[in-house]
Amino acid sequence: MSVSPPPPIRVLLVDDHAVVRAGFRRLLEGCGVRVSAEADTGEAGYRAYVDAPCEVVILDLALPGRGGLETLRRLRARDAAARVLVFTMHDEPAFAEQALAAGALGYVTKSSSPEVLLDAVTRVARGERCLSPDIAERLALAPSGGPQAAIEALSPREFEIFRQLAAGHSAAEIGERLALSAKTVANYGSQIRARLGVGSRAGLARLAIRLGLIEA
Amino acid sequence: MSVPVSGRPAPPRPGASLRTRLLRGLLALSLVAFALAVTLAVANTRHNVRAELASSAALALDLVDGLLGPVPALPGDAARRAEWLDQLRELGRHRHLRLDLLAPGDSPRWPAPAEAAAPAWFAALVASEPIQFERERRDADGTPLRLLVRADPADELAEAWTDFSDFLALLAGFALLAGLLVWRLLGAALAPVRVILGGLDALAHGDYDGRLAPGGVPELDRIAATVDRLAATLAAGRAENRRLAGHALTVREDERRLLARELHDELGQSLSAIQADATLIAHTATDPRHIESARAIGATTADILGSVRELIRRLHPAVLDVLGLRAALEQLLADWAVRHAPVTTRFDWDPALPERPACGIHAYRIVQEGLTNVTRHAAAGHVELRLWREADALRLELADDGRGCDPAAATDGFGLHGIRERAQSFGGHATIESAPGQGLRIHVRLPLDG
Ligand SMILES: Nc1ncnc2c1ncn2[C@@H]1O[C@H](COP(=O)(O)OP(=O)(O)OP(=O)(O)O)[C@@H](O)[C@H]1O
Ligand SMILES: [Mg+2]
Repeated sequence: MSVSPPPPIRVLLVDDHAVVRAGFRRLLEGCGVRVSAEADTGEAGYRAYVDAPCEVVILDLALPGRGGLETLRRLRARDAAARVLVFTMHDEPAFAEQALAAGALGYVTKSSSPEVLLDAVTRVARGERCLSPDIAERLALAPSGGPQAAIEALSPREFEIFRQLAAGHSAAEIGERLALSAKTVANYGSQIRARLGVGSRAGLARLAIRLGLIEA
Repeated sequence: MSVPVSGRPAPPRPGASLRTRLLRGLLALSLVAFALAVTLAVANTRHNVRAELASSAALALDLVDGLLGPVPALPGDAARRAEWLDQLRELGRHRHLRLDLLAPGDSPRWPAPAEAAAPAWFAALVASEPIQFERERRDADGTPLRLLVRADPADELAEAWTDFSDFLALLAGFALLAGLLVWRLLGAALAPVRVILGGLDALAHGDYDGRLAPGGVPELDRIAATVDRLAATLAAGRAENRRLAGHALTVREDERRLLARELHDELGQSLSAIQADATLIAHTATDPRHIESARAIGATTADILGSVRELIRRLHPAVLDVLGLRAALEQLLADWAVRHAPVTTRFDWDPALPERPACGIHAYRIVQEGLTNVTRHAAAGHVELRLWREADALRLELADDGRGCDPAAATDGFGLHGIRERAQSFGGHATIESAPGQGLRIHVRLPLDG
């Protein structure tokens, strides 16, 4: 299988179900991935990451307390380079869109074959985007309000902001990179959404995935 | 407008209104009174006229005897006799009396009878033949003479007619006044009946909220109060029904959500853990039989997981709880659109709406039902879903451009009915707007605080 040779990837496993953590710890470690820490809540996961950063955070969405999405946002706010692989039972594209918009690199459903997770861990560790096939398919199929023509009508600057927003970067991050204030970026954002007829940031992500602007 | 239903006897044709019937009776009564009055008056008049004429004639004859003395004899006293006769006729100018003296072989010289002021029919009824009396006299020579008194009833008749017509006018006036009074009084008295009828009609159309204003007639006010109580009872019954239906819906949704969560949290997670171990064994085992078994366990587990996922999806939209109504509806519409390409869709969401309103699941179910109908009946090319906020209510509109239907005729299904009931159970309402060829539009209002 596609398990990398040393040095082993270190992952943080955040899931509220002990059976799941135990099962996947055995699987991951059996396949050369090191589970450096486990957590059963979002808060515990966040703290574990702060204490000992690792290559990949495997994060469940249905967590008690703050929940997975909120934990994801906090992790990304704390460390914009955090590589998060969402691993969840939720297979609705809306969750994937939200997770990607919040900065997750990977999204794998728990009904996927475990090999998909193993593969996703290595790809996310390399900083690649990775979606499990069921989600990738549904996201690609999902119609979106913005037509191709509207994208082409964006100015180069608008297009760049659109791409980065869709990839889950915050307005502050984008502003820093493009030497703009966060407020200006936010204004661009709502303008772009209006022009593409997309209601939300998740919609931007979906549109970008469908058009192949960010990798699914 | 009610059409008689076959099998049931047609309702009796409505008769004349109470007012009309009473007026008709009054009119008949007046006519009888009128006829009686005329008969009586005519009989009286006839009697009176005759009596009057007879007594005046007798009086006249007595006067002639007393005032004029014996009749002068003719051949000798021609001048005196002529004077006597003039005096006699002068007496006859009195009112309706005519007097004349006839020698044997003379015929009376009457002036033309006076033109009566009374109509001919009245004169005919009262029998207006002039009455004639005569008395034997002798003149100074002893020649027999006839003294004639003729009483003409014209004056009497005119007098009687005046009395009679005054009486008739009075009677007619009275009848007219009575009719008017009955009309007005009944109109006023029956006004509450109309109010009550209106109230009952409203009840028949399911409007239980109106209250009837008292009309001032105690008996009818009691009926109105009873109608009001009936309406209140019906309204309370309906409210209770809705409350129960709403409760049942809530319980059902809660149950489904719990089931979905249980499946998600327990069954699903454990199955995925089993898959992990099966995969691990398949990767690490050396005995091919173990590898095969592990793969079989993995495959079976994957199948069960797939079914569980499908069950969860059908039971409750997880997106709604985690991401909110907007994401859930967007997802629902997007999934629907994928399955119904090339139908286009549009989704509008008012950011003033809360993401997780309490009525979210109901809005979601209504849209689900509406989309099912579009699939089954509409043959639409475009579907629009709009949600916005209006004061303290969520407004939802689902519109398609399909073949539409007559909403009054489309009553057999449970879909549209269920949408209305669901909205009403939660203090809102839903209306369906459609016409053949015009697509169908579902408007929903759901309170946000509920
Ligand atoms: N979007 C639509 N376009 C055209 N006709 C419709 C539409 N929605 C409903 N109708 C008409 O209204 C009728 C009633 O709809 P309703 O959903 O109440 O019942 P149904 O779909 O026939 O059955 P079910 O109880 O399974 O929903 C339908 O039979 C159809 O004729
Ligand atoms: Mg239906």
